Amino acid sequence: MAFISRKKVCKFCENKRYTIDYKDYKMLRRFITEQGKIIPRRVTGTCAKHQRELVKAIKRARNIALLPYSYDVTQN
Amino acid sequence: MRYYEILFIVHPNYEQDRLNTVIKMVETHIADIGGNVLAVDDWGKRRLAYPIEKQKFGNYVLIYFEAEPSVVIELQHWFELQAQILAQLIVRLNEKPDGLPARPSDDNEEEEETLLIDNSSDFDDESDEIFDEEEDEEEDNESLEEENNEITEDVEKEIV
Repeated sequence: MAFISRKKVCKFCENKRYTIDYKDYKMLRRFITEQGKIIPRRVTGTCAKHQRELVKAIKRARNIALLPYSYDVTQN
Repeated sequence: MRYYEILFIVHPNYEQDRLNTVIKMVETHIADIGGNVLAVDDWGKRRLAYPIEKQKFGNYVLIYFEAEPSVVIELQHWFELQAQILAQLIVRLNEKPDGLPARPSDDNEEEEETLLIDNSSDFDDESDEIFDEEEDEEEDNESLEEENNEITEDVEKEIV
């Protein structure tokens, strides 16, 4: 039972009013791992179009120190 | 003329008075190169995701402006030369900015529910659960570790 995967729908396609913005780093944080890596779209279910925008936004946010390039996992 | 936005970080040692003079200086510089400042938003002092020039905090300032594409590179170089500005990011906007966007809330007053400001309810609930579960697991592990520590402490006491 546990291995049956449900069909994932792109969150950004469901929610057309929302535009992906690098300044909304709280939202972007959902799409990075504990280490700060970008989560692949096969996991999150984001469509190709929105994943491209998302990746761009995450990289911009990293550039301006709104998001880290990496979290130090060993520190905890 | 195209629309741009610039987000830059001013050194945290710049208190409000001096920060205002820096913002003024930036505004006048944008005007000098033939640009037009549309809006200014001072986000205030925030924690940086990683240290820049050994600083852990920084004053974020967002400015909307319009300018000719040719002067924007010059503007970027000018920003890089300013010692009091730690980092800057210039982004071209596709359309005229309509007012200022909601600034992200500070980490101190963090509320996971307000991740997507006004339309968070439209988002998929299932994935939220996934995230929650992951967090729960972490907590469980931590509590387990704590228990283990307690047990080992007890054992040590007994040995003593």
